[in-house]
Amino acid sequence: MTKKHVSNKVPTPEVSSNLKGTFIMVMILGFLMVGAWFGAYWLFISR
Amino acid sequence: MDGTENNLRLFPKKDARLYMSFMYVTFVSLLVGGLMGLLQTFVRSGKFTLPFNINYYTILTVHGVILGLVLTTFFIIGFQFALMGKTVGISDKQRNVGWISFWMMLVGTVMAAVTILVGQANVLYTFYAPLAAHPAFYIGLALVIVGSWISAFTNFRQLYVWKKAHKGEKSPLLAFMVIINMLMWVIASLGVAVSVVIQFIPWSLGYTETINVLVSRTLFWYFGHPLVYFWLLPAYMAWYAIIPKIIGGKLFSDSLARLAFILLLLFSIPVGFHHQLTEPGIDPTWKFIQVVLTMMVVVPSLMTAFSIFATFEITGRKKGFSSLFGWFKKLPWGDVRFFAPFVGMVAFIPGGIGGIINASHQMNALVHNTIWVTGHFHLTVATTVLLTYFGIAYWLVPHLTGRRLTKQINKLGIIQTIIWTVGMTIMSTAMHIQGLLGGPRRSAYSQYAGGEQVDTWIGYQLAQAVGGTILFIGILLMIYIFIKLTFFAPRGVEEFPIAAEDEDAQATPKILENWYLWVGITIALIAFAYTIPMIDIIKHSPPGSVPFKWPIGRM
Amino acid sequence: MHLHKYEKVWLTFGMASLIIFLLVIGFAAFWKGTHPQSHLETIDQNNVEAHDSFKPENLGLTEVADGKYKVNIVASAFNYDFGVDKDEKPVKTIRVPQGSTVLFTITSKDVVHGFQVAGTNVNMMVEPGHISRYEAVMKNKGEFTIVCNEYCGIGHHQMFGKVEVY
Ligand code: HEM
Ligand SMILES: [Cu+2]
Ligand SMILES: [Cu+2]
Repeated sequence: MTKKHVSNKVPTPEVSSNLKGTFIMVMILGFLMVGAWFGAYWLFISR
Repeated sequence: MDGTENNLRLFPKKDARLYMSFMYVTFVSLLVGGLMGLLQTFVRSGKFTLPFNINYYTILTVHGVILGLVLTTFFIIGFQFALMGKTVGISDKQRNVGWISFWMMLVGTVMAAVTILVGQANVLYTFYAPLAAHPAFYIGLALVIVGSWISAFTNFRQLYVWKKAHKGEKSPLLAFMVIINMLMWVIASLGVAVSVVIQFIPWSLGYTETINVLVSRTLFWYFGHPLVYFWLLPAYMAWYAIIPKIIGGKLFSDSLARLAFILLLLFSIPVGFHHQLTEPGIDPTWKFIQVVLTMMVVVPSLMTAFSIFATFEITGRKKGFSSLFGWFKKLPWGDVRFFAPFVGMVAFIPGGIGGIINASHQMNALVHNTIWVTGHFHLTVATTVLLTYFGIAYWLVPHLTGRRLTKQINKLGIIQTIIWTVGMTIMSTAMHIQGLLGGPRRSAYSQYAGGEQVDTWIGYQLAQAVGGTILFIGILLMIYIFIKLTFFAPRGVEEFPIAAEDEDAQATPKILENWYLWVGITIALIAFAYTIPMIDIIKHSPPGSVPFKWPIGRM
Repeated sequence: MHLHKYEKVWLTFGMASLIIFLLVIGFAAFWKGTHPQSHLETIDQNNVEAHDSFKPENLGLTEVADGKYKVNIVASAFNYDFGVDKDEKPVKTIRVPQGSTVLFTITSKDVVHGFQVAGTNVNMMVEPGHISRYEAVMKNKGEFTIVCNEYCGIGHHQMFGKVEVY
């Protein structure tokens, strides 16, 4: 219990929450999604 | 409670036998269904005709039913039973009921399979009315569904009993996930059960003269979309709660995992119209409403993507890799329990994106019933889901048989995964492109009206045969691995890798386990999305349809 | 429940993209009227000839105005009935000039079929008791195969036709 209390008070807890790599990965994924969708939409419009 | 010790404790023989029975059916299905898949690609190449006058649509029905419905359902129920056994335990009585469920499903499967094989059910796995199969086909399907419900209720009971013994504790994460999946399955399969029992069986037996076609299709797709989530959720279970352990890490967030599963329960059912977007007789405004709901079900998958990458990164950084992507290089690439599901995750990127395109209302006309769709679900179910199931089988099967995943088998597994990746990349890409060029799915070899367009399609069908051949080699290898793990691998203890929570993780909010609330919202959403259009469909029904037997070659 | 800062950004981006997709298709559907085929009219599938569009003499291609055409079709296993030509031979090819607007109207006499003019956006389910209808502008020149893209029985792959845009 006490331990939990302490760790919650630390402003930015441990190294583990450095998620820069994760963020870049998901954003790449997001741009793929948007790109593919508009590609398909363009094909739909052009037919 | 030390998780690791429990992870290494083998199941009592009696329990393991039940879980393994489901695995046997899974891998027999893989072999049978895979052979049909291979033959389909051969026929469609135009260079091969089936021997003994076997009809293309007979093998296609076998392929769809055995792989889409049987393999998946048996694996899922077996795996989920093992998860429940591990996390909350099983009583003698529950195990016996589990056996009843197994046998009922198996009898149903055999009934349906025999009916298909003798050519009395060339209706494909969607069995759209008014094509009429022999009643034994529908009765077999009904048995499979009801049998699966027995398992579902056994799982509910297992958690209930555990909860009573552990007042105030939150349920184990994996048990929670199993219950979500089974709740979704029961609520969804009610639709198809109603259709089969009330519409198809009496109609095929001649007790009722006609069937309401659009109602039967709507009930089917009310079930059909959650069906694909029923396949996917066990893969998500592994991604959230098992992979972290395999890579030497902890759960990313217990609460977020639960929240994602709840969102999947809420939004995966009221969306069936996205399979009926080009159908007459359904108001387009209601189609659009269900399209909006479909986009909501993407959100938990966005959360899942983040969780997975974060698990990888956190684990890597804890091990001391501090560069931006250093953690990525150090993932256990040589461990098939990780590698196979990882490829599955990668396949879900194009798979999921393709799904969003399919569901985009009028844009559906671009791809509806083209072979693009087949390419799409061979990425999602036949790669993402299946490779994750394989990734599970590599440790689950030896855990159940008291053997070990040796270095050598692990290596074969890596090769299997690579073969699958190569074969599927070829087959699925060819299908996607051919589909965008208009090539239809569910079609034996044909030159149609001839011309340049058709020639292009046939080129891609040749590529599919190449991919299909490679895939089939992958299936043979997988069967070999399964036999090795079941009967021949050295005895020992293979870990059942369940990840633990971080000691200083935040407490999980109680509301996440308020079943009444979530089931209530689920039902409310279904009622919202379906009541008015369903009343419309029934009110404006055309005359019913009599059974049509001759189009599927029945006398 | 705690969400990491980056996860918040990611989910916001993801959800915003989904909303944009919905706005794009919603605008096109509700303001421009490009819903997917969703015709609501029913018919007695045992007597489709009673409907004006499906009288034998009204099947196939008709020019209704300059650059505007309609095509009426009756589907049955395993054939599309586009009517007959002047030699009483069944029509298999529909020929229209580029840029023309064509209204396809189709129903089924027996089981469920599909109707797709491959390479265009004409793609619809055809069900007994219902009339399917879709209007399209033939923007591009070429030969487009008509395929039945919903399984209708063991002759399914022999059910086809052709649209020629010249
Ligand atoms: C050797 C591996 C495989 C090959 C070569 C293969 C090939 C094919 C082909 C060519 C089709 C389309 C046929 C057509 O539309 O005419 C098809 C359909 C299908 N496949 Fe596979 N497949 C394989 C594995 C799988 C697996 C593992 C699953 C599921 C777990 C699966 C599920 C399905 C389903 C549900 C259909 C749709 C059937 C229908 O439209 O009625 N396939 N497969
Ligand atoms: Cu769906
Ligand atoms: Cu057809």
